[in-house]
Amino acid sequence: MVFQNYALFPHLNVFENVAYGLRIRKMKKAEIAARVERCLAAVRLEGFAERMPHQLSGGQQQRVAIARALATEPKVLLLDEPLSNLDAKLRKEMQTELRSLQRRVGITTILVTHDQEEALSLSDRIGILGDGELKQVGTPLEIYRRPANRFVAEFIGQVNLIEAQALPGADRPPGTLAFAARGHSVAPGKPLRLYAAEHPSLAGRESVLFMLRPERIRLSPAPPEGAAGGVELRIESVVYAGSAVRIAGVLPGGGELTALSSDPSFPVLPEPGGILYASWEPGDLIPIE
Amino acid sequence: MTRSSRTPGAESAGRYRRNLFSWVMLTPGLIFLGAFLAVPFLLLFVISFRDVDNWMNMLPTYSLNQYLEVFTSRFYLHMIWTTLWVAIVTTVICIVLAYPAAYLLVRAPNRSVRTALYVILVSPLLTSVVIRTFAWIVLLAQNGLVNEVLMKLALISEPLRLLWNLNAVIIAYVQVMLPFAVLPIATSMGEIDPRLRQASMNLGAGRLRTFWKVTLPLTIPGMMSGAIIVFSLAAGSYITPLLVGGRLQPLLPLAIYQQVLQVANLPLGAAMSMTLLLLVGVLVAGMGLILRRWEGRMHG
Repeated sequence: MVFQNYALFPHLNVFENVAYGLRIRKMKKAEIAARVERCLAAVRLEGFAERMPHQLSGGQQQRVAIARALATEPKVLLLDEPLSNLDAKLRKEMQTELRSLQRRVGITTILVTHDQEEALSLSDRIGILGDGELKQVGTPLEIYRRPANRFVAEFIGQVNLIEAQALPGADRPPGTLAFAARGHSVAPGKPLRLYAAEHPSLAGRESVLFMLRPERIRLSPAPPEGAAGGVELRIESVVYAGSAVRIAGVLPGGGELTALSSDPSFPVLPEPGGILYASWEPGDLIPIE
Repeated sequence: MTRSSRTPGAESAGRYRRNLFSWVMLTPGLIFLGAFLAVPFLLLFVISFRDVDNWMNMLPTYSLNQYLEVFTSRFYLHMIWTTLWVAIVTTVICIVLAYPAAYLLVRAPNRSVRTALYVILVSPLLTSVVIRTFAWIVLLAQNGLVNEVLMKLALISEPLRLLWNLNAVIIAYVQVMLPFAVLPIATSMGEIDPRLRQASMNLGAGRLRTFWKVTLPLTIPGMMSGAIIVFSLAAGSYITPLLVGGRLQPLLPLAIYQQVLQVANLPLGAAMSMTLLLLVGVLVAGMGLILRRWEGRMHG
């Protein structure tokens, strides 16, 4: 187990910290020395054996803690928010480092984190816990693209959630089903018409909650061509985050949508109060349980 | 001019005013300490080099005679050794007994229990040493409680001689000084991150080994602080040994008391005081050094 604050023994040097579990197992001295050396090499801390914990940086202490946990060759390694005490840049480095270390050593690792991005980028499988129960278990791709429920959808990344009512008889493009949004209206009293790709879970459903990821929404200054057309949005806020621009707007009849566009799609940042047209593919509307 | 854009000159003037203020506040204390500690101490130091005639009058000459007497007489050397030995034994017993008590304090289930335990621990310090020591006379005397009970239980046929020896002095010392050992140990124990113990157990250590390998080493600073306090108190008190040991015990504080107040040989008393101060100082400095090095090892 690796603790959030590392819990290195402050009175023991790096070597003795890593050797702690081995001494308890009464291993031979030479064997201990070899094993400790191997573990320190695995976390790239060769030459640090004589240092005391207080002489190490946060990232180095972190790696000693991992080496200490690895030394006893456990079946499962539990990392309790191992990166939460590190600054943003070091955290990114350690994420890559952890991932490749885990691959090299090949120990099943459970990593506890509050950082969705960290969870998505580090794991083979993610379990999402909420209200004391396991909300969904799946690969990062499954969790992100097909969240099983509203909790997971809202937890992993920002989303637009649209409640909608089935319109069984309505005109629709082939391969889709038509719905009328409840909270989103293109004009007062005129609900937003949605076309969702046909999906087994939609069969016979009266009312459905759809998830629409902000990055799936395309924004254009003029109404796009095509049957679905675009939804008029009055811009409420524009947040520039370097690689992307987050734009939130309201529909003329009420209801909010947030879109995430990559930086180059806007030579000039749009101003709040302006009008943009939002559009998306039927496959981007993901039904949520 | 706003607060944030103060000139360096104004800032240093402000610091000067603050410094001046704290010096003014310190002055009465400094004068008091100077007049009643530093000056008498210097006088004592000077007097320890004075000679005396056969009627114990101080002569205007200076020599090392008093120190020669202290360090060449077997009587005084034995006394120095006994004083240090009694203080060391008291210190060791205090630390050993204080450890479980400190553990109990730190592991108290909640705040009110902990507060209650602290009050119980500290309350003896509210009464005078004389009263606390007198209690031991009541307990240990020929017809005292301990002898009475042992006689009634027919475990002994005649009263044991429990008072008026060094064992009685050590027993009374331990009782009087135990709180001074418990408090620093409890403090350093309370500062240990509980996750260190979890980490140790997680790596396969049992409770006992976790104690020896983690808890005990991390409380060494507390034990050292406690030892320093207890040792210096035990090497320097004279009330407790006088009351339960009697005035004839070979302990330096008692001898100093006799030389000064009964024999009226001030220079010899002063030389013995200086000797005691030096020995305690050296030993305490040694313990302080161990403490510093251990803390430096852990925290830099």
